[in-house]
Amino acid sequence: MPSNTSPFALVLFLLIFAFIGFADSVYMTAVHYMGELPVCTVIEGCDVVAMSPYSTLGPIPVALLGVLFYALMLISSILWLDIRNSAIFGFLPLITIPAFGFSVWLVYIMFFEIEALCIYCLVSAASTTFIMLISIRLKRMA
Amino acid sequence: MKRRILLWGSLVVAMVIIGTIMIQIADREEPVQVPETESTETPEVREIFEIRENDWIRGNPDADLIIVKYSDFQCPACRFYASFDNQISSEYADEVLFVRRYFPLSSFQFSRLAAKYAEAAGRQGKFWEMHDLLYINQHVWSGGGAETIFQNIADSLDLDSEQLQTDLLDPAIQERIESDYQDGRTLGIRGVPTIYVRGEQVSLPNSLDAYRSLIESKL
Repeated sequence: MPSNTSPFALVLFLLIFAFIGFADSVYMTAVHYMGELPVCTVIEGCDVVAMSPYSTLGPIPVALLGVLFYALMLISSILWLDIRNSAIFGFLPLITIPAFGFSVWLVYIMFFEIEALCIYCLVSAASTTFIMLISIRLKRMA
Repeated sequence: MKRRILLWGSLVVAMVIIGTIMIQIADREEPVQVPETESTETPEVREIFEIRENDWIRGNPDADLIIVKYSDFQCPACRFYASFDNQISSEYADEVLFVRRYFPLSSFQFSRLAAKYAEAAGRQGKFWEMHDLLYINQHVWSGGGAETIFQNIADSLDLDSEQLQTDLLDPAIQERIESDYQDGRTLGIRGVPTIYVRGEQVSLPNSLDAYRSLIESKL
């Protein structure tokens, strides 16, 4: 992103990635609770990832954590658009950096433990990465 | 105030719309379970589940419980599920007949070649040995040089190299593999591996315990 990007533009990017991640994780959560297998091309093996023991943390599906995370990002973006108080940006990395770390761990698990690729998980990991990068940039601007 | 309502209202509406659409897409997926009418009631499907002389089997040939698996040698998910096979087939050697059929995906470069090596090894009585070694070494040969690695595996199994090469060129081997593949298509297989217990497609057990529970529930 160019260095002169305004906070407004960055928040719009944050909104876009949060919406993408939200849609993706709602789908995976719905698939989890309906007992379906996510539809994807057979080579990707996302059924394996979605059915693996790593797809839940105790009783909570990882996808549901994604829904909460992206919902929080959406609310934060709208909150800034509403009150225009940059103090919000100070808190964002406190959530987005651990979320990014968790995402990296999930991608590691996917590649090296389950050895199958899930396109929905990769989309979510990419969204989280962009959101984390944007949040750091916003914090610096605050 | 109007702007505030518009902002938050848009967010709520957008989240509800996206949520509803995604849930509907998830709900619209075809069930994993193949309906009974498809899996057991047509003569064509019934015939597919009959055990053939050239099937690769483990367990008890007279067992009442038959588990048929359609799988691919290069698919990572198939490797994951194949890792349970030895343990489960030895634990239930008396109660279950395990049948392994080919469903090589064309999207994988070496799937059909691997299947041909397995079938050719089978002609020398080493199908399961080749099957296991193909999966164990899948990450090595998937990246390239598969044929050399298959040949090395065959050598490590003391297969007659000349005979193996002759068999690999035998069209009957190719036909056998394609015939399994076509059966899989007839069954409407959407992904690999796909497991059928008594002719009914079941959800893949993702652990040894889940596999044991599945079998116990069907015995």
